[in-house]
Amino acid sequence: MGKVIGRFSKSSYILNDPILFRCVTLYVISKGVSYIENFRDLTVEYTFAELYEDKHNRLDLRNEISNALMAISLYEVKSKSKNLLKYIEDGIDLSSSSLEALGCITGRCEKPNHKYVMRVLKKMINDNGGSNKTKYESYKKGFEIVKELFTAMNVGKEIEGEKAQYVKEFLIAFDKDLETTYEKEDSLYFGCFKRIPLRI
Amino acid sequence: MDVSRESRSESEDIIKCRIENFFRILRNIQEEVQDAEIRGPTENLFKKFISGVVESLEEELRSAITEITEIKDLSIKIHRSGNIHSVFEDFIYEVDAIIRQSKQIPDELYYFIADILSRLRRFQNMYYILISGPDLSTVNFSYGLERLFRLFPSTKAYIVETQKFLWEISVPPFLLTNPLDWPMVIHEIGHMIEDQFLRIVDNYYKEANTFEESDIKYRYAKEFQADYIATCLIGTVFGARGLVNYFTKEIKISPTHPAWKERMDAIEKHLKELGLSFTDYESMLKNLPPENPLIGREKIEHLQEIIERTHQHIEDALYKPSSGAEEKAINRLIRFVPYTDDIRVLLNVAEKAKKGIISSSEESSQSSPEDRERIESEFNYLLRDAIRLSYLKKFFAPVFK
Repeated sequence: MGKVIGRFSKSSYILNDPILFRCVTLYVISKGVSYIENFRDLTVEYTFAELYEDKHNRLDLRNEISNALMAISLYEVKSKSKNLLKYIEDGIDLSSSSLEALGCITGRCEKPNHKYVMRVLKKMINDNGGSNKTKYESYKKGFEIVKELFTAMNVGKEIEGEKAQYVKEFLIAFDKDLETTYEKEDSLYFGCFKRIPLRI
Repeated sequence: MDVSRESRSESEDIIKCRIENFFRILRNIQEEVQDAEIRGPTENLFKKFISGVVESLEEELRSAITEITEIKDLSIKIHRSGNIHSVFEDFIYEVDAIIRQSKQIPDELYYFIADILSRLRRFQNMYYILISGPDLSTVNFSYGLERLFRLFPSTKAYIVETQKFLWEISVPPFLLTNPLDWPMVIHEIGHMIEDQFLRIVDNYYKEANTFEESDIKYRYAKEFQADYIATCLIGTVFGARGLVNYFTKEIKISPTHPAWKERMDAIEKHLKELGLSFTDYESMLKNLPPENPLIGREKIEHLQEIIERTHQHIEDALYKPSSGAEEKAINRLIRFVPYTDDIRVLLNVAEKAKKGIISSSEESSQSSPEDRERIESEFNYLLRDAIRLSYLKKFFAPVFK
């Protein structure tokens, strides 16, 4: 149904003020809410289903990054792991979807297929400090090299150690940026409602 | 051995031990699930499903350890171990939440839903678990696990093959206490029907997770559709309790949902056909808190087609009120006698019967606020008993015959 328990906002003044925090907690308890440990999530405008969806989108993306990293490392040691092909597929998918999303951010496509990735990337480019243009270009360059590397791996070609190392470092840094962005927001769910224009 | 090599070896041992520890955690989850009492008809299916997921994970965890041992880069080992940890943490949390929060669901709510679902012969095999949660909403637990276990491809495949849909319906505590509010849960059944079987909205709008206008149209269309399904299946009580719960309490709606005024307007014609009295309804509408939906209903240009196509699929389960049945139900309820012929009739007349009892008691000189509270509380028990008896009568009577 999608209603919320209250609109206290996630303003930090509530969380930082012990008396106000207690009042709000009592209100939540009076409404019969049993997930007090998730208090912060309950007081913002997300439904249970929406938070669940956002959390799983985020984990899915992070797991795809993790699989891509494993693919490179296992490929380097010529592993016989039965999962290797699947991990390589994930690396290809990650680079393609990210490049498509980056293209769409600057308005170069009409019907993007990877809108969640686009939303996350938009947020990451805007919020992680520094120049947005530099950030955008570093992601674009990074994912282009990721794609080159995985395309080579997919057809069984030898990969350059230097390039593999670059991709590993890039993906670990990208994953870290993703986490930092989420830490600031709790959830990226309503990022779009803020209507932040992308400044590139 | 030099210091850096020794330290690397120690780090690798820690990573390996940390992952091996998950075997113990998985066994604990499996035992806990097997021992738990999960209310409702899905208990055995849920236990078997989780048991299968755990067995598959144990197998894949062995491969994960081999893979981590094989690779050379310590930073990737640490990263992978961190991801595996996050995935297990989430899995444990979700299973644990189901075990703990499903205990608070009254059996009668399951009976009520079973009764409604039994009328939907076209839509069988809808498996669901009810939990007490912060709001009224539904997620596909299986789809959540499917995305959670991208790190474990065989487990992901197992989930898709064995249980593609296992619904988790969260019901807030304030809706659990009053059976008159249970028809609100049928809105969630509407979402389940659409997502598991119909997929009508997908023909017109696409889900994109962007919350831009096109995505909001998709989400709003689904809400209007679920309201329509609920009204068709359970009658006017859905709209009436929606008004009571969502207009008179200090509850605001998520921007991903249309405004309540528009939701009611969308089902108004149907509510009138079903005989809802508009005296209370209209006075409540006047007192609506201001709402600012992201888009208006008129922007959902295909809504009418969506509703018409949905109607074709639920036609055989429509609630058609009969004045004779309703009168009989009221006559019994005002004497505190359970009515057990049809749960839908029971809930549609319950509010009227309760008001009748309260006004009779207020006419008597002995009436006090405590008496009124007592009547309301006992009336809720009467409804619960009536729902339980209706269920028993419907599902066990053929056995005794």
